[in-house]
Amino acid sequence: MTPDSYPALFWSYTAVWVLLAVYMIWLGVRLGRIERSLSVKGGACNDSGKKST
Amino acid sequence: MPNTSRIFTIFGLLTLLLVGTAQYLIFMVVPNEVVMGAVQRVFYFHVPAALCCYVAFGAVFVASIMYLATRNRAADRISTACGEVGFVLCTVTLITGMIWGHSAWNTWFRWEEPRLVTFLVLWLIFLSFTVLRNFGDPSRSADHASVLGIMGAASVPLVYLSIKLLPQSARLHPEVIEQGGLRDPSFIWTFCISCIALLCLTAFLAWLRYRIETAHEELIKR
Repeated sequence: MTPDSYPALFWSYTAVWVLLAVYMIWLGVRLGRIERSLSVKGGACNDSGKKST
Repeated sequence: MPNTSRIFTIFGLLTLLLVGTAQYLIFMVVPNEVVMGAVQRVFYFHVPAALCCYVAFGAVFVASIMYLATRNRAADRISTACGEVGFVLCTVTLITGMIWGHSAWNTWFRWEEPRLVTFLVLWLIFLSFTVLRNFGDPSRSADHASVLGIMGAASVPLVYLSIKLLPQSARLHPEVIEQGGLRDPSFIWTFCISCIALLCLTAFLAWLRYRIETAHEELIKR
């Protein structure tokens, strides 16, 4: 092993996994927020349907 | 719907297992390359990420043509998802390539190298695509982004062929696979598993992004 190349290897894999983790978390948060809004709207629609009947 | 959700979870776990296996092979099994040393291990992530971004951009090309021809919303959702995931992988390829380049060439970027410059242009096209999809006028962004996606994906063969048009002496970017550089079986296995793992990760991320787009459209409809 050449110790000179360790920092490059470390930083390249760190950059990759940090980037992918941030992207995955961002997607997860976005999906969760939209699904929550959908369930709130769905609940509101059901309530108004019940009231009208 | 719960069935799809279960398949999604199983696929996510399978992807995690494959990525973990690839990491184990890269750091624990594969021997050090003689010339480059430890930094050559970047290759097992850099090349599969580039291949996966080309696959994602190929999907953008097909889906964008389908959308413009048929106005099918599902095709537009596929184009959005694959374009964004492809852009992330393009960024990964660019970053790992620059770090490797700094170690091998003692510079982050070489403007005289056509593969690097054409790849940067590809990255800029899909940066515009992603910005347009996320912040553009919703009534027109689908059409505009589809055209941009087709143009961006059409430049992928140019990126691939850019280095081959130069004489051998002028080429800086390594061509490991084309020149039969993977001689040790463990190099080949690690590379193949890394490619499969990254391909599964690409599909998983694109599926997740597609679900967001579907849920978002449903939210607008209500």
